[in-house]
Amino acid sequence: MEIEKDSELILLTEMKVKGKGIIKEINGGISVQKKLESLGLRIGKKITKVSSQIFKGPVVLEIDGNQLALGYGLAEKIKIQLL
Amino acid sequence: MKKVLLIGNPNVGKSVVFSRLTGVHVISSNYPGTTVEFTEGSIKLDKKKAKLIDVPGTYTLDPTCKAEEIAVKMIDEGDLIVNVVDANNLERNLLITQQLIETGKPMVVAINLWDEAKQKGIKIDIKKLEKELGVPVVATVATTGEGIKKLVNRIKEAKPKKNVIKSSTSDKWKKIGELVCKVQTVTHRHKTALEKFKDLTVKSWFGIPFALIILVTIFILIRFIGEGLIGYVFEPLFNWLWTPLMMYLSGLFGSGGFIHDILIGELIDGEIDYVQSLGLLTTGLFVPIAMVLPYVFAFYLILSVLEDIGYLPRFAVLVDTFMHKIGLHGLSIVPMILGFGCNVPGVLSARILESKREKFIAMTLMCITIPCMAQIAMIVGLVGSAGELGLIIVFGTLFLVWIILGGIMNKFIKGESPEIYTEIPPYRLPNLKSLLKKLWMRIKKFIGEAVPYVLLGVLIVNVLYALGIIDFVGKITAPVIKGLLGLPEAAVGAIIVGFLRKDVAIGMLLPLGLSFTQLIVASVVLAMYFPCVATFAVLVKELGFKDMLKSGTIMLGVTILVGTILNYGLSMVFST
Repeated sequence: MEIEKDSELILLTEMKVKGKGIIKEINGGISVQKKLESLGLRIGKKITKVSSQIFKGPVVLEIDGNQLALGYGLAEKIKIQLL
Repeated sequence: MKKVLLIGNPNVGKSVVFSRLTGVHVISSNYPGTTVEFTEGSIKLDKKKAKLIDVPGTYTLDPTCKAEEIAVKMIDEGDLIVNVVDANNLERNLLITQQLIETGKPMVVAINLWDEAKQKGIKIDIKKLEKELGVPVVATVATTGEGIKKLVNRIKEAKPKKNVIKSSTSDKWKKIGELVCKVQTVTHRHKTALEKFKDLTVKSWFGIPFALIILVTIFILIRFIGEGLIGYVFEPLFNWLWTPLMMYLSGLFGSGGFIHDILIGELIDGEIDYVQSLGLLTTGLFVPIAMVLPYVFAFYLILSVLEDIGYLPRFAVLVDTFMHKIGLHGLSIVPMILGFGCNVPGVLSARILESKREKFIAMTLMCITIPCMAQIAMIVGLVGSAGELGLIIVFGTLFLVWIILGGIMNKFIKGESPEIYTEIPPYRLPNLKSLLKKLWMRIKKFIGEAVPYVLLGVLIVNVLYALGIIDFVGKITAPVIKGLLGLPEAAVGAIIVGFLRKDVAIGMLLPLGLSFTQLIVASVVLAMYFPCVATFAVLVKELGFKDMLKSGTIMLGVTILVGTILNYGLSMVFST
């Protein structure tokens, strides 16, 4: 059951541009989690991906009508359930 | 005296509120991290003077980086808090509001950017919010001054809170979630054309070509405005008004002698040559005002527009991948860009970078490869007169060194480069009045700092020549200056003065009668070898003595290496 649920989640970096989803998991150490949380990125929040860059550049996403840019390495730590 | 602190998330307009409350204008822009220093001003509270402090933006009191740590420490010293909140981003902004309330200090909340939120279809019930939070809440539009009077009045109502219950961060988020549901209503509407364009500029396929067009346009504009002001305004002004006066003065002193040479300088073919004469009243005024100021003006005009529109964070996103190759992330392009105006604010702005390693790389790279506008103006004037090719070689070399040295430092300095994480503010139409004010502040600062230093530089040149010190140092350093760099011994004078003012130093190359190759080598060497004294002072403060020593060693080493390569390379190409 756990595995099946997990397979529905994709990384923020794998998401298509203009795709919408809900943050389900945030990985990484406590400092990463704190950093993301301070920007308003928390489990359960709805996001829209705005753009991604070539060569593993930052991901731009929209949350509560505001845009954030996250480096690729940070964006990889966020797992999304697509809507 | 009571201390009032302005606290809130980055880019919510704290500095604009500060300017409104104190009447003292401070630099504000549309990107997170504009304020890196604590700015102080005074306000009147109940007819008593109080100190108002603009604290650099922070998302949380549970610090995630050094800059936030410093901000948090400040709070203990404050007597009253004005928490500035972005109305467009209520939920995220309320975290720090909750944390501030838990400090028990008297506090007022200003819900800023109220107009923008209204346009976006966001409605916030201020009265309800006030009741829920238990502190006075005021809606403000700091750029126009709306609500500021009310804010001042309500500051008086702020009372210290007793028996505050501390809650965990997750509890706070839960509370905030409920609160936002109660007080905020959002009417959904379609994206405007500007918002669609906003999304486009962070997409690689559109954003990168667009950024290149912007960069080229900036170069052309700066050159056009700078040259135009020099050719049509400042040079004619000096020639028509100042020259006759100076020639008259020169006659009074008998066209020569010690005082004459200090004030007017040496006459060249019986005339004043504003670059070569090296008098306090001639070169000392002409260089900063007629040669450098026009470029400084042009640069800051364009920079201010870009800052206020909100383009810089988008540019940071686009260059992020590349910046990782030199051990930095995208946001570090911001200090680099500011460095083109003057390295001092550039170095200070590098505080937005998190790790010591990033700061070291960014500051070292900036000091070596980013000439300030004063220097650029002089190089353009001097090298440019020998053809565009010279300029391409000078700036091309600096750009290459930026990439290669950055790559090398990234390889050999231990540690990782952290990832970018930043808000991307909406595009905003610059407010003309505050834009002009910002421009004026920067120009005033330039004039106030440049003119005295240039005068001092010119004076020191005269003294050093008179005492024979330049000849002496020239002989000692000849193996490097002459042997490796292929420059005449007298060029050492420019290198000594370059520590004080780089623009004067480049001007000093003119009377040396340098060849094309020598001119290029000397310009590159002067740009790279060491920062000017003003930059050096902030660099020592930011890096500490030990890292400054390391950074300085890299600067000198790289300069000699690059200068030597350029000298031998160019001599081979241009000698035939």
